[in-house]
Amino acid sequence: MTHQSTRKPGNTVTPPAGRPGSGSVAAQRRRQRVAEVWREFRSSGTGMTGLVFLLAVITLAVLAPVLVPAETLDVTRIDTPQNQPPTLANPLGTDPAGRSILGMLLWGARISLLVGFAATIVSVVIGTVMGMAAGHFKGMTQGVLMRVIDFFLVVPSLVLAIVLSSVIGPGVATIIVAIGVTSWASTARLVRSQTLTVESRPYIERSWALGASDTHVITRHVLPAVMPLVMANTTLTVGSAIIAESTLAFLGLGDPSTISWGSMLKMAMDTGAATGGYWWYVLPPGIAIVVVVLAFTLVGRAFEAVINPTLRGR
Amino acid sequence: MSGVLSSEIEAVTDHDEPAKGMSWLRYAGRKAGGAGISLIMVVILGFFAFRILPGDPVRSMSDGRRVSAEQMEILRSQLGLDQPLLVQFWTYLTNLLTGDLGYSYTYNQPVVQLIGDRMGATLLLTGSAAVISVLLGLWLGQKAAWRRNSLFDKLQTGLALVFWSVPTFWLGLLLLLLFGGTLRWFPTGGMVTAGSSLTGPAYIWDVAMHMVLPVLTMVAVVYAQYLLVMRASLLEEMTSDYLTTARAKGLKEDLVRRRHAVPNALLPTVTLIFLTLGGLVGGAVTVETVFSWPGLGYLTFQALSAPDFPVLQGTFVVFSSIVILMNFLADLLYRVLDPRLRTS
Amino acid sequence: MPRLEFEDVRISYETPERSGRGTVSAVNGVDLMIEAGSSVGLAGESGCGKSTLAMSVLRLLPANAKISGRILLGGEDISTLSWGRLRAVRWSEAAIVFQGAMHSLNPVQRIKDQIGEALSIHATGEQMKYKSEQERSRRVSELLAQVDIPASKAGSYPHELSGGQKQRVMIAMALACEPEVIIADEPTTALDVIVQAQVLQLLTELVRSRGITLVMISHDLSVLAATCSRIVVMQGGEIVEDGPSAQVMRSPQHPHTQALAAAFPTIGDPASRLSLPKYTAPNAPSAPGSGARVQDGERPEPLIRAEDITVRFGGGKGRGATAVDSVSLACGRGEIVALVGQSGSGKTTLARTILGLQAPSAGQITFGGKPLGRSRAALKEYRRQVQFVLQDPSAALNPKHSVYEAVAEGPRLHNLQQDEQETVFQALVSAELTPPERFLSAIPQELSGGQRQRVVIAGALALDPAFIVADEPVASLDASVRAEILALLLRLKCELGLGALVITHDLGLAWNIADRVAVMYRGRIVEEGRTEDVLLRPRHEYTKKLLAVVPANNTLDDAGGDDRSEALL
Repeated sequence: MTHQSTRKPGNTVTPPAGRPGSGSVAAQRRRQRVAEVWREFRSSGTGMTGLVFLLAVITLAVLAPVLVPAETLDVTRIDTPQNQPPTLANPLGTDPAGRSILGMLLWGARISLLVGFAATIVSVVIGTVMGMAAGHFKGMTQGVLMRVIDFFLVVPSLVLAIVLSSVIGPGVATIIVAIGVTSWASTARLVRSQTLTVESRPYIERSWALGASDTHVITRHVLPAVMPLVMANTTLTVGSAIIAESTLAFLGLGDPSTISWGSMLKMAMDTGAATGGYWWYVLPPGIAIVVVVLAFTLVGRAFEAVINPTLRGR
Repeated sequence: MSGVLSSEIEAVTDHDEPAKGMSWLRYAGRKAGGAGISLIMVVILGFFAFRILPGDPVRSMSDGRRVSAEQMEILRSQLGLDQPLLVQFWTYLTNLLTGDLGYSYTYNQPVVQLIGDRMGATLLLTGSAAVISVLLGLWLGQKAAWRRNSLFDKLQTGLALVFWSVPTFWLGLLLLLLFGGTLRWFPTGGMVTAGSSLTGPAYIWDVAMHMVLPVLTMVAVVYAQYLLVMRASLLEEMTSDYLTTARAKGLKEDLVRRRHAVPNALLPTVTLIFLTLGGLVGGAVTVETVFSWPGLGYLTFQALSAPDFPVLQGTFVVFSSIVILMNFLADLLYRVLDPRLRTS
Repeated sequence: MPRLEFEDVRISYETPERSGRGTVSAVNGVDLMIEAGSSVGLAGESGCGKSTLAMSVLRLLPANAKISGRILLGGEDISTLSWGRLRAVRWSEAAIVFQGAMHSLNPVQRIKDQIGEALSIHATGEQMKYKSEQERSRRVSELLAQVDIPASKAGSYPHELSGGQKQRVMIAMALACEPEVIIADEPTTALDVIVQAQVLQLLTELVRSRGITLVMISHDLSVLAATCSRIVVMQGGEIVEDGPSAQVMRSPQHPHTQALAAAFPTIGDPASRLSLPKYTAPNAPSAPGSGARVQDGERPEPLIRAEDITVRFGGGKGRGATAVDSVSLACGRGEIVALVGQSGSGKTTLARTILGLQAPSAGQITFGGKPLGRSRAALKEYRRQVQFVLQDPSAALNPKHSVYEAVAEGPRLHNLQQDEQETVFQALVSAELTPPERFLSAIPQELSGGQRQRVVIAGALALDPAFIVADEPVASLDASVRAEILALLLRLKCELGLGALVITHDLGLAWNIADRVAVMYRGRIVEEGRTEDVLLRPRHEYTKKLLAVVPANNTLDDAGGDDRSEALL
């Protein structure tokens, strides 16, 4: 090549010492962006309420062993009366075995939240990977992936979860797997749609023209563009997972020896608390679920409004 | 798909590109082919789920009961579990084609009969709930979107979000507690009053009374999702340019919404509704269980407790097939609704 | 009495942004009188307020717009009308022709129903007959005939029509209730030059024969000059120039108008050949010492050669479309070649094939004599030598990446040995973004359109390429910025020997900077040669047609072409 290079001798511009290098420019940008997102999120009343509430619940759940020592819930050592309506000693009353319902609620939070988060991680990871692959690759690969995703979308998730749980055997791990396996498809579909949108943008074509590889395009362009939506979707998935956990526990697929909000309700049903009018057993776990899931939903929606400015004010 | 995030509206609107511009017949054929593949996958999954996953079905079945090793062996051979896997699969497939879904040990009936007996009850319950939810959700959703940020909108959206966060079975328990137990306005379970043999209008009334609480439960949770989806879809549509054209022509706001915005907003809404049908099925399982409604859902629950694998397998295949069928119908319906799919 | 009058009109938008932009002013005190039966062109760049002003005539602005001042339509003050009266006035007194090619038509309604709707809304009093379906049908057919759309298309949906047809449907719809005033908002943007000419001709004909007052909005001064007798130029919400169109085009007074007018060079004018306001090539006819004629230099050796390229899409033989049909093209080292054609001609496909982004169905591309590889790895070295500048700079950059990251992306991908920071700096300087430090950490949304395009160019320059392929590099930019970017490309060619293949629909651009022109039509190259030869002595019918419809050559009081071009031949 004998064309004149852009770097003509005698005309070089030497960057002055002490100006930012590439790594810190990117890092500075990131910090700025996070700060902007936080500022915008803070302005959403519902979002903040949800977030604060969730942090409180998580704290309580973590502190449960301290606040309510395990022995107080040990069935063999209880001496408080059974099925007692709320009193000062037991603010939420007692269950048929005499355990404090408030205590059980706090301990139940641990399992419900644990399952919620764990199942969500499984679901979101599978969903994101499958979604990006289904959006990025063309031809046969895409056809096969789409079929698989559509299949998992179509199969009724609760029924599939029941099938899986009944075969693997009851337990917390089973529920996590069952929920994870049945709920990744909707994340995948969302991620795929977003991947297709991103990849249709000219800057992706510019990347190809610059000489990019699949890995480069996916990691430097698609993944960062998809992440915000995945995060919004994740909060919602946690909510769904908590509901799913409670449903599966209620149907008897959970670990009978662990306390979760779902298992409390199962016991309520089994011992006839509903028809017997023991409302203090039926209400609290359900209200706990509703409020926690609602908080996740509000956070998710507020976050979505932050990352998609056209949604603000809707 | 929850329908809670607005971004999901966009996710359902990227349609099958190659399918555009096909003749009606080819389109239907293509979609039927897709449905067929899904059905095959369901059948395969239905089989292998019970055979490949860790856990011995026979052990699970006999868990908690005193069963001798010999009895377990007999059970195993009766279930055909001692045959090589492929032979089992072949038997399964051929049986399926002749409508034989296996035999239930807990009920002592062929699975097909069990399912057949209960299908009607589930369709009645789920069908009514679906229709009411769709009408209610879509109507409230479009009204809320058009008056966004008004008190009406905030109330409706808030209520919908709360209902979306409610576990269906718990709501059922609450309604049972309140209306069935305490107030005694409605019966607490079953489809008909036990031990009665009513006919004609009295029978219909009896069933209707029994239906109120379960249907109410299902509608409460499901309408919320449809409301949120319709609202988000309409809000997306409201920024469109063709609405400005309609207004410029002198059209009243009300008509701008009804004649122009809503028909376009319905397209992704309809798709999302059908996509979330699987959730409706799940709702059926829990609601029927809480209210002892004698349908497929309750059957699944009862089979779970046993556990009765042939029944579980059967209900899984049947439920999935129904949803696949509905999705196929949705694809056909969509083509009718959206003229852009008819020509490329 | 003036048909349309604006008295000290001010319009501002309240934005709810908490990161407060607060009140944004769109129109800042406009006084304008438009006589009945006249045709006025409203010119300006995006954001100058022209569309806002036009939409305010029918009170079609969003709820957060605040209007002060008087807007009189046929003597009635629009801002004081009741809703009922306003709805009656809309469309029957004044109608708007929106950009049909965009989303101004309801996608799920047939066009006959959409046109018919206008009739049934105003079916009162004299127009009562339009309550009947039959009458409406008749009128719709009549309207469609007037805009040259076959009656068989009446039952079509918008997506089944071409861009030009959709625009004509919009015109038919606007005429439906026989309004006194028609406002055309960018009616021909996004249309081909030839289709554009047809639509403009139709519009002017219909308007003139009915004595309708026409207000046309466009950023393209030459389009307005060809259609309207008076041009009003807006900038920043104010009117900066107002006069007969020929005068505004030929001798613009205000600097902004001058910038706008300079964006549309007259083909054949030696003053604009290889010369732009910011830069003049050393061998331009207007450059000192080069003489009036463009030097007949030797053709440089071909660097990139497309040999008999055919690109076919979709399906086997018989089905599918041929985008590029046996095309051969050679681009010399350090040469600017303009590939001219309308949308659908295959020019973008050809460009992408040359870049290796599209595999040809037949033929091959050679670079420096060697054919291109097929795999991504084989193409990598080629990619370093031949770079891509895209059309829409706002979409060509990842909105989350800073300027530094965008420019450094190329060098990083190729693991260039040089100091990355120095490379980025140099590239930014070459693209005239100085001082570079100011731009390093900026993200695209903080830059103007012109600056973004410079960043894209810098990203290309960072790899030190021998050749650039630019796809409509200035089509998405404001007219005043267009000249700057073209000047940059010209400078890069003259000072650095950077050759370019510029894809464009704009013949004026070719006249401005290209050494050679290739004209593409329906996948084939119909004419090719030196710019002067092709543009001043066209041989092929299609080239002649393209030249005939370039609005810059046809101002309203111009009988024929310009005599000055003869001097160059």
